[in-house]
Amino acid sequence: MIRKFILIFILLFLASCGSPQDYSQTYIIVMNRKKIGTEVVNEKTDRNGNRTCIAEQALDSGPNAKDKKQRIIKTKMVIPKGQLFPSSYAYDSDTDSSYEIKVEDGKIINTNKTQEESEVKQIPFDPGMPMLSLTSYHTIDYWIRKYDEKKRGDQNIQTYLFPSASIVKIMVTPSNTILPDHDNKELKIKNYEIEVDNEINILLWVDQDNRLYRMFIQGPNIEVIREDLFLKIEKDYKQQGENL
Amino acid sequence: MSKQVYKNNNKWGILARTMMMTTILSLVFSSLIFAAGGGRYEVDPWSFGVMADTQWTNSEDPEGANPEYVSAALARAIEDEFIDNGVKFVIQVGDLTDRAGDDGMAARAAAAQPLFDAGIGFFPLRGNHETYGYLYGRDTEYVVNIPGYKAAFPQTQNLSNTFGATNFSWPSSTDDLLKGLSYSFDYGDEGNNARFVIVDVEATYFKETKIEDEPIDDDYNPEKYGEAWYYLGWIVYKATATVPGGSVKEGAYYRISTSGTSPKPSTNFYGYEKTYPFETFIAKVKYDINGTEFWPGMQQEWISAQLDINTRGTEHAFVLSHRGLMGTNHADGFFGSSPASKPQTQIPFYKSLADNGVRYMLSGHDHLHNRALVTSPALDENNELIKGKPGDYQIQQIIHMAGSTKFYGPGSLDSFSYTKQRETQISQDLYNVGYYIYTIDGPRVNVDYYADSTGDFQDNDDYPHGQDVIDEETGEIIEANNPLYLPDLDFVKQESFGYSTNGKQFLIAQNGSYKVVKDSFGGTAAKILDGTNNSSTKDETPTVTGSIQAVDDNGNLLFDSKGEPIYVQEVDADGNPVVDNDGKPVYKQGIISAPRALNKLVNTGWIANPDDKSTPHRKHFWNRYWKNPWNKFWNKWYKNVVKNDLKSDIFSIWGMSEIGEADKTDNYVLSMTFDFNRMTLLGAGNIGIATYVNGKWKNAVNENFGGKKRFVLGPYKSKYGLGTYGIDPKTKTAWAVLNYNADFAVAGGINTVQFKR
Repeated sequence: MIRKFILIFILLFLASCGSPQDYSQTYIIVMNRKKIGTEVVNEKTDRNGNRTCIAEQALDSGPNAKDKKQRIIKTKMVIPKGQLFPSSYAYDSDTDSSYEIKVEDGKIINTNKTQEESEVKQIPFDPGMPMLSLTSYHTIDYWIRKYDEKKRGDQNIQTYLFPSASIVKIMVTPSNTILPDHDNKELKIKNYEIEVDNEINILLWVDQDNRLYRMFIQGPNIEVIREDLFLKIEKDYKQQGENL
Repeated sequence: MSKQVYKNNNKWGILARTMMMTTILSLVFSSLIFAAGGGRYEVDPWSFGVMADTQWTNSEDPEGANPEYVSAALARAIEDEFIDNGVKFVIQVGDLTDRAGDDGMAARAAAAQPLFDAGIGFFPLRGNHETYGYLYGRDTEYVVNIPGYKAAFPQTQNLSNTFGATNFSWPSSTDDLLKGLSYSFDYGDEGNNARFVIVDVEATYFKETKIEDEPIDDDYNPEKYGEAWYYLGWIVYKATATVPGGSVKEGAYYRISTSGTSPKPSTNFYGYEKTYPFETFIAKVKYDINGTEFWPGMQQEWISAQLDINTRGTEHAFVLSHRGLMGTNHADGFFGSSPASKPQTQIPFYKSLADNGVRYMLSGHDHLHNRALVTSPALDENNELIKGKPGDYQIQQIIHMAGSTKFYGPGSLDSFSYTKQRETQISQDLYNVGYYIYTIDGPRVNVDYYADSTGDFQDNDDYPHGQDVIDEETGEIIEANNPLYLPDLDFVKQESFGYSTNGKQFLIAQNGSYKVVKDSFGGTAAKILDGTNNSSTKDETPTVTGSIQAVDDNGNLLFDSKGEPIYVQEVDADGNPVVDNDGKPVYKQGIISAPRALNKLVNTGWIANPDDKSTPHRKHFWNRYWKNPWNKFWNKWYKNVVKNDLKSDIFSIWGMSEIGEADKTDNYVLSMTFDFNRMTLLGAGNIGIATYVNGKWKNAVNENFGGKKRFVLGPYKSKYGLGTYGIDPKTKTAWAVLNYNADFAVAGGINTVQFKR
């Protein structure tokens, strides 16, 4: 009887736990050294190994906005097991912009919706090519895995760049850049320099699981910092009587 | 003239004769001799100190000795060493503070006060951390704390506290912005002096740029393209008419893309326009620090002028900057984000050093000690970088150990943009704190690197040696490591190195023979007869595996026409290239980053024999006094065997010791020619290769680390062990089996007990 009770307890406990592969993270979005928003990511892996990643960005309105209300952007992405490209990706802003990308019949269907119109594009699908969104920052988690750590060196990664899903050439170079408030020795993270389309340079730091740790995107000049690191930096700021 | 003087002072001759006879008689009965002659030479060496990064990287400072993110306690401990060593001034190669701020600058200046009180100058330069004040709210005026820096260190502008430094100069710049940031000065007397060229490549100001102040050319012309704004990091236009190219609708926001072969209008904002709408994020003004650096190419004219060997008027010149030519940890450096940055401006810089006899580039930034020969990049006929190929000019880069609470290890070789093949490692020391004493000695420069004998420092909160170990049950401290307190420091010499403007340089790989070391000067030739670089020491470069890149016959990395690396493809048993299931090539895997062998960089140098400058009347005295054969014998015996004077020029040799072994080297056999014609009684062993110790020339083998002293009249033979020394009448040379580097000369009287004059 007692054994049965223990077994039931263990099963209940396990059922209450998420998959050990589930992942969640919060990132702080910084522009011109000011926090302008957050991105909260929740990734779940089902029993078949398919991953569903739901993310929500809460962004301050721009400096010229009349309405200072925060904007909410939600994305949902389903990546089949072993794939680089999502079977479906939905971007939905609480203002007037949304788009949806899915793979059907060997084609990428990109539906771009605004208040005024809905536009559909079809793009040939190459399953060997990963996707990346430069505004849904957690997508770099999946994209950077395309970089061949065994090969190392400079690597060109042909990529579907969202929201257009157009194919761009992205060059990845392993690097070792240290920021003033960021000690890579202590954190044991990997660093890359990334050049998108010969135009946008990204400094990327990922942890040992290839999860985004910190990213500085030159061009739009946006920095994305994992919350735990951000809090550490913010603590230093506050000690100086400053706020981010 | 001299003869006349002597004749007119005959009484002095009688007195001298009497004294000499007394001396000789004393010698007959005693081995003690009051050594005469054998002075070193007439130049007074002088020294300067070099220290690096003094960042206190912790918010806590329980000792209360490290204000404003300056590791002042460590700085003062190092400065005490400089004071004890009698240096004339100290240079700190940047990162004076961790978080800048005017108060940080003042705190570092205050920590230098003991130097000033001892009459010792302190000349700093800015590092990247001096520009980070705005990140921590410590640059509230948004002036990169430069006024605070200049106020704290007026010596950089020749205003005060210069302590004998002269000939200050700085590059011309708008509003004298660079004055005191980049600067040069001289120190020392003619023939024994040096110029210090300090090059600041850090950001200098915040740019508030109005969109209408953007330089207008065909690509950024609002009249042509429509009203302009800043949007995030871009300049954008709102099309008011048909935009050139015809692809942008009227009213749309667009930018000028540079991703193609030529600039063209583009509405591609990579999705940012969805997340950050134009209407709420466009602005007419931007404010940032980027792009305000004066990179070396922008200062090259001044650098070249300061280094010009024909006009500078100094024996030596050194170039100093916070960020070095080739980082050990940091990829960013003197020319930009990597050692491959701005290659077109690198060549003139390297050339200006090579053409003007500049041997050393001094830097910090990495918080470790690393010496390496760094070669310039190579350019093709279109003036573009040839990746992976070394160029024509070489300089020794010395990355200086810091005095900070932060410590770095080396980065993997593949994280330096294919530049590490331009680097030849010489020595490396990690996770320690230390300082350097550079001694200027006529044409010679000697550098001693000192670091704490314990070493093995830990980072940040765990500085210096980890947290206290506490008994969990009792709560008592069972091992007190006193985190964040200054530890007891025991600075020990780790290595010496140097060069001479009249010497040569030899790179000896591991297992390589030292026999290539040969040099001559006037009538003296020196060479190493035997010895091997037995070192097997490697640096601590991390091991990383990856695809093996192809190399050409000269070992240079190969790239395709697009600049992408060419990898070695796997081949099957039949020699056919292997591809994967998708038909893509399978590349050979192997180690692409690994610890590198440390080489020995042997330098030689010379000082003319100072005893060759005997005055004529002195020669006359000796010739007249010892006119009979018996006296002549004693004269020769005295001069050749007893008198501690030199019979060759002075030969200096550096670079054979192992890091951490101070001066100890592999065993080697040094041979030197000398003025053999005047020699008698060679078999006594009192003439031989000598080294200068405590004011006297003494038998060089006495100073060996171990060995057995033994004299041989005849040539060196390989069976002779450490401590054997000899005279070879056939080759008219002296030789000795040694295991240290120093100044050497052939001298007499090397085995007699000597008193200091």
